[in-house]
Amino acid sequence: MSMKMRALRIMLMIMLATLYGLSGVGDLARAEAEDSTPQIQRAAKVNTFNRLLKPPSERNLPPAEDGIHDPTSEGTYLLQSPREAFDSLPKSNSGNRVDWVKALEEKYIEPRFDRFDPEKKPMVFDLNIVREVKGSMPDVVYPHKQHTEWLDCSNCHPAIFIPQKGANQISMASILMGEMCGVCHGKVAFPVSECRKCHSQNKTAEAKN
Amino acid sequence: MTRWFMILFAVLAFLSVSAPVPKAFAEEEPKAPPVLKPKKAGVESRLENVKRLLEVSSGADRVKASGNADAIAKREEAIAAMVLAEESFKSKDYKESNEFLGQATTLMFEAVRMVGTGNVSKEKKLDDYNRRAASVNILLEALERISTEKKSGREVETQKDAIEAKVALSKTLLEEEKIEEARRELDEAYELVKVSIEELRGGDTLIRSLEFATKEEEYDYEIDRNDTHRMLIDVLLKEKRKTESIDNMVSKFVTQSESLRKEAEAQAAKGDYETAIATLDRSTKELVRAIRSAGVYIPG
Repeated sequence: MSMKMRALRIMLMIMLATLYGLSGVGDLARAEAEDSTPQIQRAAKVNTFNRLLKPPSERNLPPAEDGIHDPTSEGTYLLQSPREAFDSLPKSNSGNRVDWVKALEEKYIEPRFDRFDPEKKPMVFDLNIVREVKGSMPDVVYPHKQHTEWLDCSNCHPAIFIPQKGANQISMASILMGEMCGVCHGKVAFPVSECRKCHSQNKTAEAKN
Repeated sequence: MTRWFMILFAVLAFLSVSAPVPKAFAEEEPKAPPVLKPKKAGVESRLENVKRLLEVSSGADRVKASGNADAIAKREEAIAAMVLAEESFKSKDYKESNEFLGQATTLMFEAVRMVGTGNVSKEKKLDDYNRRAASVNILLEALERISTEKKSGREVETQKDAIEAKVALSKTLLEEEKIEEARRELDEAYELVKVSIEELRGGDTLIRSLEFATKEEEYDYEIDRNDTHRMLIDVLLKEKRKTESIDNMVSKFVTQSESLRKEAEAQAAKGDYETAIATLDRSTKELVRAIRSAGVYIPG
């Protein structure tokens, strides 16, 4: 491929990425521009606990086949198959392909807050916790509001998080291992591949320096 | 070169016209609540599952072996509903079939409840009580800290007294083995402490700053960040690395990253944490490049 053609191809890929929001295409193009002498190295053993990062054929299997529910339990057969149940819910691009926050906000679903009292409403707690991180990665914003619209304080405190400054050593590695935020995220809530959903607060120019 | 730019301009203009309208600008109609229409595949799958519920589940085994005439009769009713569901399915009335399946499931669960223990064990109740008590205690401690921080007045003190009184009463009731009453008092204390915290903290934003006491501590943070990105490669790129060209690109960056990581570890071993941190940062950047090269954009 001539230099001109190669440059044109890369520019086109970047333009396409910009127009259609396909950042991966842009990265691919940039990587192609940087790399033309590949080496082979096999992937290390892949973590299997992030069950929301499955390929399409393995996503949202019926409860009796999903490897999570007990196929010998009668309760398993009462559960609707997720593919059928999720069909009419707002879509997302990751995890189980449902935008649960939107589904809740737009009343596609109205989860019962108390199993004994159908009238009971959650106490929504509007508190944001911003966790600074190093480098140019945006800081993490943890919004209690979206979480308490569905969960109760006791779901997380104190078993997962101590509600005290400095008491929780949170790392992405622990989240990836299914601890801390990873108790839900990657299992029943959107997976770690959605960086921007948590790393959502850009640093100020002052903080970057 | 001018010709190339003219072609580029033309392509750009075409793509601008054909690009999808961003959602923010599209007119959005108010959505009606969704109505679930049973589809053939869904009902077919449910037929299979309900059949297993009635025939081979542990609940079915318990009902069959129970000798409980009422439970057995209830299961027979469930089977009759299942037969109707199958007939409706054969006549392509999936809505009706789905309704019969719902009836069959409900009836079967009634049968299972008739033979099951049905009672929550004392250990379970005690375990639940202890979990709730742990939440109340930790939230009460949080309330005290927030109250001090915000210099809240007498009203919060009164609330705290009321919560502590309920917790104390709950403990007494538990000692008297009145576990249901004890739990009720504890739940009331729990609701009160939640409301009190919300009144003080609602609307706040708390910043958890990143501060390191020593360079060694910062090095440990960078090691964790590096490990994390290495794990992300395994988690995010499993499928993508099946394409050889992508795998090659990823491998190249990963190899560079590993080399830098070793370099950093050697620097840290000599106590030069400042240099090790900078080297580790470069190693992590290589991993970010690896992930991006496979078409997954991650910030950083």
